[in-house]
Amino acid sequence: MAQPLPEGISKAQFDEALIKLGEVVGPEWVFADSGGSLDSYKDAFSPVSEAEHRPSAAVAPNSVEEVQAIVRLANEYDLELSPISTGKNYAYGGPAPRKNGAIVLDLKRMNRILEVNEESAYALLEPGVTYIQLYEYLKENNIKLWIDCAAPGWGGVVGNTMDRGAGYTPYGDHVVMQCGMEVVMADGDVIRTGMGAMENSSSWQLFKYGYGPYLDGMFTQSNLGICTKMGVWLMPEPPGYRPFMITVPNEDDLYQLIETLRPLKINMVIPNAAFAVHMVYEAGVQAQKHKYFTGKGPMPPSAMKKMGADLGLGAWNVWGALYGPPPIMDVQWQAIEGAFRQIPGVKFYFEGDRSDTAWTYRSNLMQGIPNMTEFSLMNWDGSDGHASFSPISPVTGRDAVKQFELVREITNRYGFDYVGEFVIGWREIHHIVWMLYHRAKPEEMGRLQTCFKELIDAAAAAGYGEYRTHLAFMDQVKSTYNAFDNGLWKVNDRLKAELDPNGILAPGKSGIWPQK
Amino acid sequence: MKTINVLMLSALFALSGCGDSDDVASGLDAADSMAPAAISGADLFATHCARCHNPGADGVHPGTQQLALTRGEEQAVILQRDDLQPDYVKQVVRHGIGAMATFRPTEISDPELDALARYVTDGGR
Repeated sequence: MAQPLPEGISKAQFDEALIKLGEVVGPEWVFADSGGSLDSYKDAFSPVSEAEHRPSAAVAPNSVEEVQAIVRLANEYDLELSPISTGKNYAYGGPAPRKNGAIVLDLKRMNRILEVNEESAYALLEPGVTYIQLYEYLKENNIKLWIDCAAPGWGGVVGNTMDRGAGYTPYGDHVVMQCGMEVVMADGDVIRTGMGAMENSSSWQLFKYGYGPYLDGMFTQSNLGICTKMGVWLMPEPPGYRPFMITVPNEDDLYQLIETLRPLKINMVIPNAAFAVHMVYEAGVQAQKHKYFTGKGPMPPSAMKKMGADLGLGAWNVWGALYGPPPIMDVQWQAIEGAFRQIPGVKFYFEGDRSDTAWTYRSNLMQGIPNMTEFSLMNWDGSDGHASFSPISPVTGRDAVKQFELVREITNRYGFDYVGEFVIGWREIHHIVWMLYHRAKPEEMGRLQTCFKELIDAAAAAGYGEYRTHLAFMDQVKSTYNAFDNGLWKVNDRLKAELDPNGILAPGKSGIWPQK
Repeated sequence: MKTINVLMLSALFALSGCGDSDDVASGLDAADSMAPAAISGADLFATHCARCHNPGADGVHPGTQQLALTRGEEQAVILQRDDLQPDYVKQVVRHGIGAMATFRPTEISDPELDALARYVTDGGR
């Protein structure tokens, strides 16, 4: 595949810039060998052609000073940089750049755990630190703190937070649990946010807001700076942990199930993100579609019924956990059980009741033990690609049913299974839908792309916006947040023009394009 | 209190004459005592591969499950295979295959990839 160049750059200028970048980081940390190491910067699961999001090169600094030097070179040579941390943002683009020909600024070498404070329960991390790395560090040093990880544990703590990801413990809203950033701006200057703006601050990782405007959020899902350090709060290991699973027999139970969950979440009776997972999603990590259905298109209800009976799954499967002293968990469970008992056919499962794959990996995730099991979903039908459709809605039975029916109808109509789960936060549902596909089948890829675009527009028409999306759909999702004549984006464009006038940082991220 | 604080080192750097924020950052980054050290093929496998390729085709380990489905149970556990060559392993790691994504040289360097490929093709020895 032909190697793209950064827009507006000649080959001679590009080669000269690569030499300069090599002088900063060492030539062995500049990758421009199309077909060789540079190929590892592709989105291996892309819903569109890899050629649409292909870097011209990658450069990997090992320090803040090197990041600053690279940024200054980018301004001098008119380069476009696409920062990544661990590059595992799969389903949303992986390590690939939004704009073809951008140079990936790979921060993986900056993988130092700079501080862990057990007393105040936080860590200060560089962007290359993975969940697995932090988890193992805490274990090896007998530090009684838990991490909160995304389902694939190879991801990065900083990168997931910068993309506003979520996890499974009570610390699952990662932006909420982030405290303090260090950011290299587009002109090469460095700032620290919150209390870190004081040179001698004693509480950079303890108080998020500092004094004056609170900027941290501005750097998430944006292209206004490069986060080189981040503070994250870690959960103290609780004196008790009780995961639970609740199944309901019918898809129509979704309404009552969500109505039951809302007060339990708002009142913090269930302290972690509760998941209501559709049967196909739950079965997909441990069973294969062809064992129950060999026809074309989505699995029919009759096959699902047999599969659910075999695997002991409900049409919907609720996951949650309790954390704390046993007497407190006893009281919490009484409230939860009493509420769910109202649903006919409900079943409850606890530790020791089942040993299937779904139990194992979700029980681990809800106590911050990283694993890779969720990738087994790709074995459901032998897929080699996946992207997530992720709209937000209120926590009401009405909205959940409306979303489920809308998304299932569209995905099924295009020949795809509905593989979805509802993640119940404090006030909102993240509806996460895995789109699984076979990348070598052009006809299927065409259907997928049309389907995805229809999902975005149909959800938006119903008032549901995506919280995060793949590179290929960023402009479209941006267009759905269009209130006040696209007022939000006019401000974002002004910020971009002011803070990155040469447009060197991640052009097109979240639909924010430089004006040059 | 158990606290491991590299910032203490940065404070020393700052006190020794560095005035602006860039230099404070410099002190912080000069300390890398908690960065992972260079590791063996076995350690590399444990870090990057085991969670997908350990034994058990029930879905807990997606790589093993996929190999069981595509190549059969006898070739499902990658460390138990005798048909793999180092160059093939390296190709797969850098370029991906099926549901396995790529690994970049910043995750597994070329020398580390050599060690990892040897470890895998030697059956985990």
